[in-house]
Amino acid sequence: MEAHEVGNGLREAFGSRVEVAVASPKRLYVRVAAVDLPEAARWLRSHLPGCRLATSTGIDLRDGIGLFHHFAVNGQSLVITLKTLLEKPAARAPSLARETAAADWIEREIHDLLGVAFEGHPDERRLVKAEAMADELPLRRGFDVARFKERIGERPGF
Amino acid sequence: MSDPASRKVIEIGPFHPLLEEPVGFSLTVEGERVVAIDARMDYIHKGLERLAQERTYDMVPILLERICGICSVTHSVCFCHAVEDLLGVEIPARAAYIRTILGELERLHSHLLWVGLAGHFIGYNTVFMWSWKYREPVCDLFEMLTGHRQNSALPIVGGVRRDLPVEYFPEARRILDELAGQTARLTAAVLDDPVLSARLRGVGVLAREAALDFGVVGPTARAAGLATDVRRDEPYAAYAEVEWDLVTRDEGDVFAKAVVRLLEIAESIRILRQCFDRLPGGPINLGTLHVPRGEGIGRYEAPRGEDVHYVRSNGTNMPERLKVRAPSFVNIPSFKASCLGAPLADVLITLAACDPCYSCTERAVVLQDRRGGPLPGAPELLAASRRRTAELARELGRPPDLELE
Amino acid sequence: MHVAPIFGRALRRSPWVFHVGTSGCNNCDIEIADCLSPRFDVERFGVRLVGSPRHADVMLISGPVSMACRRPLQETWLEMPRPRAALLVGVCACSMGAYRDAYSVAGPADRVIREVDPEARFLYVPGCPPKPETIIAGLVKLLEEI
Repeated sequence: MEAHEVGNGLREAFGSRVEVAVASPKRLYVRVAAVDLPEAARWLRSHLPGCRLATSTGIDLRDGIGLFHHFAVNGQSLVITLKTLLEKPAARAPSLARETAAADWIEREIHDLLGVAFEGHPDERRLVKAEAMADELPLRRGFDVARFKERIGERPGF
Repeated sequence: MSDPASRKVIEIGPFHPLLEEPVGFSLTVEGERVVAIDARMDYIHKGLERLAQERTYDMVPILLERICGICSVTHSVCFCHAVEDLLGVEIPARAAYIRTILGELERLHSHLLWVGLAGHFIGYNTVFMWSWKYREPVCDLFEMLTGHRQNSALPIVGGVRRDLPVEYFPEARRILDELAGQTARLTAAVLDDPVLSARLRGVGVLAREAALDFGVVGPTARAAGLATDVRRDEPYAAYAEVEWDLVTRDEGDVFAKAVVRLLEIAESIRILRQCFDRLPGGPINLGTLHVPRGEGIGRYEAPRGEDVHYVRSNGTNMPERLKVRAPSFVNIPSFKASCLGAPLADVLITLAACDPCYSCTERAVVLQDRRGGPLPGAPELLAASRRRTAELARELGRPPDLELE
Repeated sequence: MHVAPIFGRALRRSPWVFHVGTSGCNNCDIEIADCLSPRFDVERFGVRLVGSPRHADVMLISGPVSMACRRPLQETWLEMPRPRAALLVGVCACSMGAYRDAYSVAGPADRVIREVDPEARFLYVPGCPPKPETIIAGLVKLLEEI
């Protein structure tokens, strides 16, 4: 399936709850509210054979935390991105870990680096962040490497 | 045996002689069976995505080469794909072929490295020594063509930074032809080996459905019957113009993963030969480019599978956000499907079967020793070793074991 | 302390090395493994890679030291018997290289080890990664110094 076909399918199924943008025949960006994320992911995985969650991106934008789930389809050049904007500072989103095992680690990583709380995630321990940084969110705006190192008594740089 | 009281937790790592990199695994066992498994990835985390946000588009590929020592071409080219997707540009044909050559050389040395390590993990060091011996010529080729054994610093957004030295192509072809025979012999020997067959068949099976659920990529997916390969799905560089075959297997066990990688070695050599023959002329990059606001997704088939980069630009000369998803990030968690219930002795090779890479400048100068003269290379070391043997024999009052020529 | 010369001689004969990769990009680790592969084969000079720091004379360290790696590296160092020395392989272990400004990096390996052992001795082999020839030359020099 090409990007615009998937986009039309999503529009039919979700109506005004999705906002579809076709960037190119192989890149599709879909805006969707956080509550609809699991349903949209289920729709993609059941309508596109070989569809898998490739990865997710968390990004601290000016108006909120952007949470982008990138879905790839085996055997095709298509990448579908579900984009959600989460409100700061709490940033809560439903977890996709129940839909697909691929979401497990990447959601833990985003939780570590950006502090997004994934509701319903089976395992909320740290994955990539060191213990010394347990209270820090290094990918949030305003995180300052030099100030952080000074606070924990590290010498910054070489 | 399923008595929870008999459960024991075995901690492996972070510095374990079998692991090249620091990573912590804790295995919960009942008797010999592994019933739970958990990993700690924080030892290796350095915060590279944030570093990339503080560098210009020209500097980022150089930094990304240092994500992983084996996938240095992978990450830098994948970043370029993402920015080129954002810009909507096509790179010149010559640059596409050069990127293909770099990518396939990298696949060659990575697969040979894995075959060796797999042999090492099951205590079969002959395979290790043998395949690492054949990996050396590939590193030589890399050095001959780019000036460095792994980090070429060639890819930039819109093409490649420097041209390949065409005058070395005949010599490169000769090394490649030699390598084709050697790796074919290695492949035949490994696939016929009754020891490896007995040890690896039926071990660490990752079923097709589980493979899709975990979203595994690359040889790990292709050995489980999923025909996925970015080179075929979304042809980049010169892959649409050269002939090659996709290798898949249905068994999903460790042996199938070895078969896929070994057969891909031959495919890589086939692609390289065509690229050397057909390298087109023309420019090698698009010159200076301005990156406007926008976002792009790049995909690249690394030796371990699909690599994904997401780039978001706010119109400045540095990316606002760079997300790097290395193939191992989705391949490693599949141990939850392939290791549980397995005997402890099978777990290590099963973990190694997805070729985990937990992390994911020197130039061509002759270094001077303090005593003067260049550093000793392989032939000098061999001569020194023979001298030393003779000295030891003399000290011990014994005739030398081998004749010195 | 008259046993030290004997140890020194034994060490020169056959230095046993323990390899620690501290959150590097594993390029240096592969070049270290390359030193053991057939082309360079340092084992014929008695250099043996061992599985425990308690058996080792020399520690090969590659990569910048991440915060999570700091304690394990210091503990591993203190388990090595004296006389001990470290070969810092690659520019990251020497001076953090490209990761100098990263938030999760605790420092170059020499600084991290000197926190627990001010007497520690190091030999630096820069390069990204250093070629196997360079690593071997560094090891030889280190053994001459001890």
